[in-house]
Amino acid sequence: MAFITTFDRLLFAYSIGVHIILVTMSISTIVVLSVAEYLGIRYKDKYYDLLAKRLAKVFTIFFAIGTASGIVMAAELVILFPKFFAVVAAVAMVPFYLEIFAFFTETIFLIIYFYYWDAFKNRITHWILTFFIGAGTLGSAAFIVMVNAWMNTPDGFNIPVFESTGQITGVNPWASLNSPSFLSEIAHVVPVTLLAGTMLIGGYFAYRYLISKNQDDRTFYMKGSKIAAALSMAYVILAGISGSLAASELIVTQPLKYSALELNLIGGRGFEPEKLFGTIVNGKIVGAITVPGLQSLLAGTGKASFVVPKGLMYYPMNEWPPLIVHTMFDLMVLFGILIGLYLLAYLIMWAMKKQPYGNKWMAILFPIFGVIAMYTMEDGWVVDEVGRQPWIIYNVMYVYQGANTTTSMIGPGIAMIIFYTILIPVSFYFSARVFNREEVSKEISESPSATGVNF
Amino acid sequence: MNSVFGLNFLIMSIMLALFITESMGAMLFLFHYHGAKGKVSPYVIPIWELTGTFIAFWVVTSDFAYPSILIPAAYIYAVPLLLLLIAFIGRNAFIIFGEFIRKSRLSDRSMYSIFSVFECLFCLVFVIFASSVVTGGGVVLAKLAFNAGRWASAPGDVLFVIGAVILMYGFSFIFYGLENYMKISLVASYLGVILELGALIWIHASISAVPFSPVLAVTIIIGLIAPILFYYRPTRKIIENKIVFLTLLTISIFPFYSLVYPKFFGGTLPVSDFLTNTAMSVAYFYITLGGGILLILMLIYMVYVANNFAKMQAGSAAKAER
Repeated sequence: MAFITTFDRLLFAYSIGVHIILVTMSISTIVVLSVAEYLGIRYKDKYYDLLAKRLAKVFTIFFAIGTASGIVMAAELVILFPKFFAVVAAVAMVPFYLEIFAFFTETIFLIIYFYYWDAFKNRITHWILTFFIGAGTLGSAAFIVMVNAWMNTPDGFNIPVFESTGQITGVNPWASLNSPSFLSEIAHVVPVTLLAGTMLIGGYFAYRYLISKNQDDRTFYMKGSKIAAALSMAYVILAGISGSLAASELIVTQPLKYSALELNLIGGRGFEPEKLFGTIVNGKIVGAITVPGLQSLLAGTGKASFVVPKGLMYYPMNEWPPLIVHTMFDLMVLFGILIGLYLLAYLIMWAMKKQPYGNKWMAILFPIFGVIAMYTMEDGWVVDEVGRQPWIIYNVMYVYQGANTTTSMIGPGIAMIIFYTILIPVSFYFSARVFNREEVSKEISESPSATGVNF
Repeated sequence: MNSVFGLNFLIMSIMLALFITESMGAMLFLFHYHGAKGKVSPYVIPIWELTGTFIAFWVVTSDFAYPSILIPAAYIYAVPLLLLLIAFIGRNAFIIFGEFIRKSRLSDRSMYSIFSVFECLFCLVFVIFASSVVTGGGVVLAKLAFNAGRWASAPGDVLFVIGAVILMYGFSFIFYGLENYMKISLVASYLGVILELGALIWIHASISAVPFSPVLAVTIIIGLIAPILFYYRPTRKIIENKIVFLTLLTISIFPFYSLVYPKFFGGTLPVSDFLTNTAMSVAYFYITLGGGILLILMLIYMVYVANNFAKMQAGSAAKAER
């Protein structure tokens, strides 16, 4: 049974890890696309127009694959963790249901935006459609984060009765819309997701800029890259602030997870040192770089005497999450800082009226940081999810209690993993091919093709 | 009829109407690519996104409506559901590849053919799943498992699936306005209706708890009338109209509720045992109402833009001719 539970975990982790990448690309692409289209209209700039048109195709591709994997997620939750999802369906289904209408908004406005592009003589009206697509895309993500926040801090039903009898009573369907950790979680998830996708898009533009020989191509990719960099600068600031708030929220709502992330064995005191990396072996912290008082200073927003929650030793060991989350947490923060520094350098060069890629290394580093940003976002989700282990619903249901232990799905499950493994690189490759298969100079002079349904 | 059940079944009917019309397009891609592409692509290519969203809509609304059925359903149908998921990802991936691919070693035809195979696979597994929910065919309740061999040994279920496939093939020419295939359409449509009718009678005869309700007459009448409307020139444009056809298809799917309500799995399990709690039912009702109005408004806007675009294109074509 333990093997099947682990298989369920791995299959779902793999699927959702892939799904998050697709969603991240969709959410980020629509914002870059919207800005590009606006600049194209505002400055009558054909490069921005072309950028918007090409990004619309890329968005459609990611939407297509993302939709499929979104449904896979919904179904996998039911198939792999039926007892867990039975509780969600009886208590916290409202965000999932609202998400569908956000999804419809995204879909219908995308169809109108993309397939009937030429139907709009007023280009501002066409541009406004991107807001609806964006609202749908971001709305979908926000509603799903609500469910995740509910898993971290469940409410909306009588938990003691459920724990003692397994009966679901006292249901408040609307409570899942605002569980205690929701605001801090969504405030962090949105900018981080946008940052990851936008950095990857900007990184791809920088890479194309570097390998382009044609001046039109270089101008095109430089403009795209600048949009991505400017947006990323705003996102990284928001991600930093919201990340700090999210950590503070953990202190109140999930103190055990906080202690694991910070590797606090004892805790419960002021002037707590920050432990960078390291782990716990035989009841002792080993291999950590210690910075005295820093953790209390950060957690207390400048107050070094801030008393952090009691540490891991106050909890049964079988309820500790795997301590790898501490390393993952430190990596996440480290990479976040490095991305911030890179973008600061970019901003300084831009502000000094120098072309950001006047120094070739700035262009070389952008794709590298793009990949790092995507890794960091995934890392953050691992921290959040593995940090809640062994619970699937915090303090209510263990993962093994919710899992499907049927062996018959191992075959299709492995097939699913193989299928995803092939599909994702193919999707990225295909998106890139669609994006850059024509020469910029040639395409700028061409009128767009059109299609559509005659009802 | 319980309102939560009714609403859920209506959403499923709309979803199936959209999915069936898309699958009919997939059949035409597979068997009549050159003759049908010009009529199928302009519908399927934008609409597949909406169909996918409707499938998600139905999945979530079912989770919402029947939370306690999730545990047995996940055990019984784990394998068919995972197959459906793989087919769904393949469908989405290959239609988008077909849409954007340019001439190379892989043509758009090969992409659309793969899309069609996934689409038909999804459709086939779904119809098998649906027949199993109606009759309990292939389900081993004691072990919470699905036995495909046992399902295939029930003639009523198999006939139901074959009839559905033939009927879809016959209707595909009507929906996409392929008048050159009128005779095939008539033969296949009526053969499909007869097989479906035979399947329902067979199922009712072998499992008396599965009712043969009078409301199914609505489905049969629509099934008989649609090919006639297509055959006669004055009424052809009416039945070829996408919205009319989709509406009729939804109306003809809805009466199938009588096969699973008030009891399903061959009349063994009462629906009421699995319905959600009162508080969630109220939330379900209000969200469906609000969301449904929003959805209708958005769809009206989409149809408005699409029709304006079609007029614009027709105007441009007329201008070019002059």
